[in-house]
Formats: sequence, C-alpha cells, structure tokens
Amino acid sequence: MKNKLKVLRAERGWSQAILGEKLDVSRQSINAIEGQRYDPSLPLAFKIAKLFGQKIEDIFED
Amino acid sequence: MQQKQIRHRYFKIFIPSMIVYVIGVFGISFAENYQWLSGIGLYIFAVIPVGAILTWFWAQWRFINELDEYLKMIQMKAVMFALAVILSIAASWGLLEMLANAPKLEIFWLVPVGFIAFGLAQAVIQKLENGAPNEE
Repeated sequence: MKNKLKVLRAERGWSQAILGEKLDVSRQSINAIEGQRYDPSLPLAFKIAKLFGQKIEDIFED
Repeated sequence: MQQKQIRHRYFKIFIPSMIVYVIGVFGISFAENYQWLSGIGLYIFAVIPVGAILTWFWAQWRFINELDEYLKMIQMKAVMFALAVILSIAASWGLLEMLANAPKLEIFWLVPVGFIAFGLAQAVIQKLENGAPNEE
C-alpha cells in the first residue's frame, strides 16, 4: 500500500524516531511503513491520520 | 510505555532467567556426576531450570503483548519458526527412534535448539523485514 508518510514527516522536519514517539511505535515500524513493507492496522492508520490532521485515504492509497 | 523501556524490562528478566537456567542445568549435572543427588533429589532440583524457562516465557509473553504491532509480528514469526524447528525434530526423530531404532536423542536438547532457532530467526527476519533502511 502506497503512503505519503515520509513526505508528511519531512514537511514537519521530524525524524522517524520522533514520529515513532508521537505515535507510540518504534522507529523500525515507521521505517517499514514508509518503505511500504508493512501496512499499519486500522487503529494505527487512524492515529497517523489524526496526527497529521488528514483523512486516512489522503495518506494511504491502494 | 516506550519501545526501548519495554525491551529493557524484557532483558532484565531474560538475562537472569537464562543465567539461572544454565547454572541450574550445570549444577544438577555436576551434582549427579559426583553423586550428591540421586532419585527424588534430581526430580526436585530439576524444577530450577524449568522455573527459569517458565519465567522467560512469562517475560516473552509480556514483551510480545507490549511491543508495537510491527515488532510483535516479527517476534511472532520468530516464535513460529522456533516452534516449527522443535516440532519437526521431535516428530521426525521421535518416529525414527520408535520405528527404525535411530540413536536416542535426549529431549533435553530441544530447549537449546529451540532457543538458538528463535534467536537466529529473530535476526534473519528483522534483517529481511527491515531491508534497506530508508531513514535520511
């Protein structure tokens, strides 16, 4: 699943570790999601969307 | 709880329990060799390594429950790999022992084999899952 996580994170000047802290997940998880090797669960996707103030479908696309 | 804290809490239980396991196993073997223990004594002291393993399982259970979903997936894959190795050896060699008079394999060795398989699987799966890091 494609996503804009890396772009959104870069816009805010956050490192993967900082984003991980904000979402209460590991840096490895952020790395895997950004690298499209792992699709987050629905609760985590909602958390990501809420953090960036966007809809899930605006961040993730099939 | 932060992922680092979760890992730290896990190792605080894992390392001492493995030390107790190794000391327990060597201690019982030593005591048996020198005939300090026999019969019921051996059965009683065999509880020491079992206690260490159960303590590790409890720590591992808590660790997996507390990890984030991605790291939890890696841990579960490693556990499944170790389980597959142990069950495959037990089933295949056990059958050969029963039917083909294969040399006896002490089931005690399934524990270290399981730990090694688990450790290796964790390292390999983490390497495969993480791939090329894309942190800039």
